[in-house]
Amino acid sequence: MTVALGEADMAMVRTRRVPAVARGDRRPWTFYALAAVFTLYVAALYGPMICIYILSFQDIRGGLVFPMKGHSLHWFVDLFTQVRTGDVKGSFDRSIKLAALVTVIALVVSLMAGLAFRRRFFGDTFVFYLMQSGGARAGARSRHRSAVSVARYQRELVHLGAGCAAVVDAAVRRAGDVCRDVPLQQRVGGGGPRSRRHPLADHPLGGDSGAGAGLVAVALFGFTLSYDEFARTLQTAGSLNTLPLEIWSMTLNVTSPSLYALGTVTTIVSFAIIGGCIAAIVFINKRRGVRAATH
Amino acid sequence: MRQPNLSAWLYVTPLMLVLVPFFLLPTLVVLVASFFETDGFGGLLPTFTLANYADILTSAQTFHLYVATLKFAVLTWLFTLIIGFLVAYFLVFHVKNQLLAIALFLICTIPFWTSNIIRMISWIPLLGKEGLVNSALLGVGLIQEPLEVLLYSGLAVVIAYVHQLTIFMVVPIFNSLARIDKRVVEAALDAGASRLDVMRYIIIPMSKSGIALGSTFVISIVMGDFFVVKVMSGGGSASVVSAFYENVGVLQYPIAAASAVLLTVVLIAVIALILRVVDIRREITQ
Repeated sequence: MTVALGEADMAMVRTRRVPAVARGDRRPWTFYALAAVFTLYVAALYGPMICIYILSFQDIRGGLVFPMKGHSLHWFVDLFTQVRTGDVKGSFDRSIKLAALVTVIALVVSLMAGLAFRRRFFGDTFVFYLMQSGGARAGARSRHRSAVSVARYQRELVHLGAGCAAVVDAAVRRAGDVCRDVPLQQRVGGGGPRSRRHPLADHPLGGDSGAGAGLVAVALFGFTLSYDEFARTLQTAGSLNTLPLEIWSMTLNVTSPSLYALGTVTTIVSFAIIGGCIAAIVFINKRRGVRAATH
Repeated sequence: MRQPNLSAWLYVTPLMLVLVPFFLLPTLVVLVASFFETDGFGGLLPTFTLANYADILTSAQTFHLYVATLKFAVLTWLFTLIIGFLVAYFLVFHVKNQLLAIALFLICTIPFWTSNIIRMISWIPLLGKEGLVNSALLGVGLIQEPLEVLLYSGLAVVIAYVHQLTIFMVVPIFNSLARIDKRVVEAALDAGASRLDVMRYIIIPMSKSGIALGSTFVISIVMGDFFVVKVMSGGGSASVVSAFYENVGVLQYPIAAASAVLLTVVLIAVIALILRVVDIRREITQ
């Protein structure tokens, strides 16, 4: 998963794309069948989300299902002014702070771990498997759940930091993964045997490596995963809700489109972050390409 | 090779500072607690007993929970595998414009970074009693009354899982397919292989690592999940994790800890089985 951005385009650049399966000008029937599958998949992926974005713009008569009843921003105003729907603004603030903190920690930890994993060292397998199993999310999550309760952590870890601590290991695992791939990409993508390359090329931030883009991907995972994190924060957050917890409690007692309005707002935030990160990756890759061309 | 140990360990220190107190220690605490007795009020008596495990392993409820969870896991795995493979195959082998392929790939990936909860809620206007699917079916005249099994049912749980997790199949399979040297396929075609042969003898064997990686993601997420089951089944279905979440709620910590250990063992066994078939680490780093 984590290798998504960096790895995908690397692999595609490496192997020259020869139209192997479909030769000649006529496309085989499988092309159309698979294109239909793909279209349906994307429609199913986005369709439901688009439905709630549309429904959040109803006016005061609006309900949870179609048809649309009028057009207005009523439910957005309602969301941020009504006490009935809970402390949306406060939880929003907390979620953003939490995500920012996790992103910073994940960046530092994964950059350094990535540097360490460039070559083998004593105990690297142990650390590698610890990292991997830390990320076997199911196990970790369940362990966390009861561990946190058993140890009565809640008492001490009531505030933001607690949720952060719990979330960060999920992020780190992904981060670690991406960074573990960084040396790999350098090895594969940098070209030539290691000894013949400039020493700086081995530095994730220098040379023509793909680490800059990798780090942006780490940041993206760190931010989005913690911004949305539910299971861990549910156990650790105490009385001050984060956004996912707020949404969760809203699904239980709010039966108006303000629930959908909240969905629209958080999606806008997510998309802004994703857009920024993808733009950064594209920019870094482009600069890398220019530099590689001039050398 | 093993000379720069010290600097490597200094680099790994922050990682260990996160993993040890927040992953390793809690795991050990759970392991230890699973052998304790409870006083019934949330307190723990530090003894050594296997009663918790005996309780779990002999109760019919555990069996039903695992069957239910495995059913969800297998169904989800099957659908995500089929859809994920077809989508990845289409992107790698059928979309000839590289930029377009990357763009389409990103389109598939982006929802992964948005809120899971929102994506679950978003099924309400579609699958609900007065939702779009029911209205459409009523309109066409296929059914007389709205179907109630669409939302808050096992079906809804599987739909939500497939919706959320197919991307975990698409990405690793996409990566392994993109690594296949197209000249191999070309050569096979020149040698007279049919396209079905190419699929059977080249593409599927060479995407094994991606399929295995995706499978471990999907299976471990489904087996460890309680949230999707809780929301999408409307309380109608339970899973292994939701059961010990209830245990924690009623202060049965040792039982909860024992079932956590059991689940972990089961998961490790399943993942080890997958890894036996395909050595993921070797395939990734080759």
